[in-house]
Amino acid sequence: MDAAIAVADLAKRYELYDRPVDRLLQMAFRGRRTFYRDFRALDGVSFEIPRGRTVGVIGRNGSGKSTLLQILAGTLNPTGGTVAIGGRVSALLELGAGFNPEFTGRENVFLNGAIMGIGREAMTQRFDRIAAFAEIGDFIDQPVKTYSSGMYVRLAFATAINVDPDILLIDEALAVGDAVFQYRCIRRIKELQAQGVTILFVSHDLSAVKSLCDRVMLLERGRLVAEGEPYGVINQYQALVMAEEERQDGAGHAAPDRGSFRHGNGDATLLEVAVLDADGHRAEMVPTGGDLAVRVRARAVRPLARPVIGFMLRNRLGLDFYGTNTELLGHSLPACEPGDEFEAIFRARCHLGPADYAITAAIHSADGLSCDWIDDAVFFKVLGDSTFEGLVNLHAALDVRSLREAHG
Amino acid sequence: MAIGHLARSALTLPAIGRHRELIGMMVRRDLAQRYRATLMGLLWSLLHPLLTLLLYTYVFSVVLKVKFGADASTASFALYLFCGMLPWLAFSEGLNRSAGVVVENVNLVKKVIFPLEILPLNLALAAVVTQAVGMAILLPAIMLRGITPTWLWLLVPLLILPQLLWTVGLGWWVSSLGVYVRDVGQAIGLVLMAWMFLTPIYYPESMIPAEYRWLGLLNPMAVLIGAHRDLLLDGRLPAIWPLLGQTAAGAFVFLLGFAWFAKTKKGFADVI
Repeated sequence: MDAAIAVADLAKRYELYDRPVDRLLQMAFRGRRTFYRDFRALDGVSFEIPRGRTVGVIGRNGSGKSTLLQILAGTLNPTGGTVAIGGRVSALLELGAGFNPEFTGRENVFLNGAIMGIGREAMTQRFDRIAAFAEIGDFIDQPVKTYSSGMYVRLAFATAINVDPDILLIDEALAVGDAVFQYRCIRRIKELQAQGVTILFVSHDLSAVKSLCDRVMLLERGRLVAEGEPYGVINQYQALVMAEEERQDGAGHAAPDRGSFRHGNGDATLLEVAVLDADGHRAEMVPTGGDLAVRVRARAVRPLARPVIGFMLRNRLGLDFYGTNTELLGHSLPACEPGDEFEAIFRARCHLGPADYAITAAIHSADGLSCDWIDDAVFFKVLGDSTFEGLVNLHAALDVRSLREAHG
Repeated sequence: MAIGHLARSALTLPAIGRHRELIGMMVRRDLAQRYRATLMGLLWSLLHPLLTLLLYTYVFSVVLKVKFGADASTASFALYLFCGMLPWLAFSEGLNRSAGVVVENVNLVKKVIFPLEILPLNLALAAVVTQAVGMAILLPAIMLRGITPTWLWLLVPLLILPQLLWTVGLGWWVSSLGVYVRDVGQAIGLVLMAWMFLTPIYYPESMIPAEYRWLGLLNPMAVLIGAHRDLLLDGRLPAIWPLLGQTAAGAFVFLLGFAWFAKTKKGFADVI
């Protein structure tokens, strides 16, 4: 079998029982009477993940992400459809779930190994690696109930990723720990990727999803609504979240269907988003260190009390580099009537490293309700010079002097 | 069709062997956990049965004048009682704790890929370890009473097999049922109390009116306790057919219990 994970028409229907005993009654009556209310956590989900791929699963709360992961891990049984898994699965559904607080870190590591089916001997070989990764020092021989939550989580993560899985399932696990640890986790995950481990992970951390995944799946109300390149799917997700927020804010009008990359309630329309060079001409390339201007023009469709115009700069991995808006820069736009048009020009010195960038622009109300929002409205390229490498130019100053001359 | 289902589920039983190491660790962990952070540690596992023994000996032998064995002394009563208590305590402890074991380990059900069927098994094995410690006290005590060890004593470990078949087999039933119907946790205590008094532990089988005595043959614990006393105290071979019958019945309960557990565990995560 070529696919590490193959899922066909997967469904998880919850029968919501008011009392546990109703479930037993339901079994006894075998469908002749109904004791439950229906809830579909997953509905007709099908996909295949080839070996060695890293796939992110995103979606709003309650969209079925965790249910999917639990079914793949085998801790939850699907109501319908088939799941085929090729290889040993390690699942981080909840960090440290298998830990016993009364026992030492060392004992818990071995216990977790045994749960994973790894014998004491094989676990002994891995132990030093795990202890080093978790960085909890002498605490390894203390009961884990004495650990700080950070130590607890570090040890759990270290254990889970050091059991040599073929398939690794991670649910929100990267959201924990400090920045240093997160960085180390991501590096370790990249190592696993290089070793050909198939990884499926659920996260709300979109930048982690963007930087780690080959592919992203978007779940919405138990259905797989999008699947593909991280960039596009994430934009679709953001549109979804935005639309939901607007609906909850009670704005009244649902966002008109204008494609997944553009959304808003239509109170105003973006007329133009442009990148300008030092001379004020439209530009597709800007030298690093040069002047950069972003011009956004908009027209009010309905009366607006205090419109805000803003933009966001992203690189190709979808990392948000910089963003600001008129309000943040201390400039409130006046109230406007339908038909009023206005322009905002943001000027900046471009200290970005050489790469392709996209600009997302929006006009929204003062309380954040989007009127018109265009993801990746315009692209431009930053040309590098030879004085630095990396994402940004920090303009390092340099002092060099000789400290000792051995042959003097 | 339901039978076919169960039979297929039972076929996965040998897979339990793969978890030997995990079972060993969890049994050790269970024993250690119980006494960790206590001052007397493992002594507690002895103190409890010994104090029970003392009290029951006083109540049944001194006050109620129940007689056991040939010489009918209080010391003799204590030995017969202790000999009967050890298998019973292991059996009832394993079964009693089974009722809540799945619910208590909700993390293992929902958050970890874990072979849940070993949970009741661990409990039964942990109880057998305590039983063995008790045995280590019983045997010298018997010798102090002037009974010399015979080759019959070597047969006692064989009795563990039917005992475990029954404990684990019923444990699977009870633990799975306990997930769906929480009342099981309450009911099991009552059932075990009734079972305890109906089993000749605190009184000799000979005190049961003759017309009820056949009931003892249906009670696996009565047969096992009788066999323990025959081998250790009375120096004779127990009747073989009741023992074989209870072993066969135990194997049946064991297989069916496993199949039931394997079938119903798929719904655990949905209920807990």
